[in-house]
Amino acid sequence: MFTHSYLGTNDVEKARTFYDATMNVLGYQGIETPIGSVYPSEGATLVVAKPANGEPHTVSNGHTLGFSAADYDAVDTWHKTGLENGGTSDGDPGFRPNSPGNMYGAYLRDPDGNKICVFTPNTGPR
Amino acid sequence: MFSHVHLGSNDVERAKKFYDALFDALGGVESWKDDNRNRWFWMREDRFLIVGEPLDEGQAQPGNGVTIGFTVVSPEQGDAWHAAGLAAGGTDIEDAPGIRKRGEGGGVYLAYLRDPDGNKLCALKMMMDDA
Repeated sequence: MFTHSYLGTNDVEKARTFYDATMNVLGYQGIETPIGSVYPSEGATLVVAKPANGEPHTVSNGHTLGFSAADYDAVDTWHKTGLENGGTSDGDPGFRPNSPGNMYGAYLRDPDGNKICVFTPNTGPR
Repeated sequence: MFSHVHLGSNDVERAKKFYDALFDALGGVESWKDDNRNRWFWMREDRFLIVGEPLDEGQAQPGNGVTIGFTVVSPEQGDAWHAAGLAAGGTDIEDAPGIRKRGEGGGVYLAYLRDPDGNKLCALKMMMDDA
């Protein structure tokens, strides 16, 4: 479905600190580029960098980028790690009845205000 | 890596027609409307695209620096994706669809569109051998 997602930042160092920490929880390592970082995987790549057009990054209302986590503990650790690295909570870890299959997920805003979340399938009570 | 992407729309039924056209060009995928919210789901390769009204009930607003890349299997499919998007209310942006050289022995096929709400999309295919 998705090859990559590009998220804008206005502060590469803050974004790098946040995404290096949170993507590491999910099993991904960052590679620095002149304008940000990329987090490759076999299936898809996250790019967090200054906008390519040279204009400031602006937050999209209505946009959320969702990541897959291995299990409930990974969701909890991702959320906690994000809070410790410059993120703000946009939804504590828990089951989301509006998601397909009542999945377990959590929401954060990154240091630039981008809305991100992680979800893992419902494998029973927490 | 990604479970889903949600994009904001101020006209969800217009967006539904646009994304149906894009996915038809990729071979068609399952889609359904959320029972509880004004938003549509498309599922492909166990990943979801969701397009709907922002949860804060404000206006959907594209962000500068945000791009979503969709998988295509060939430049021909990418061209079809781009043409379908233009015919269904999308806007042509960036360079025309085609292969961008990346040093020796490779390249990347890219096609860019904005959806009717202004969200920036691209179709991408790595060209390892014949670019």
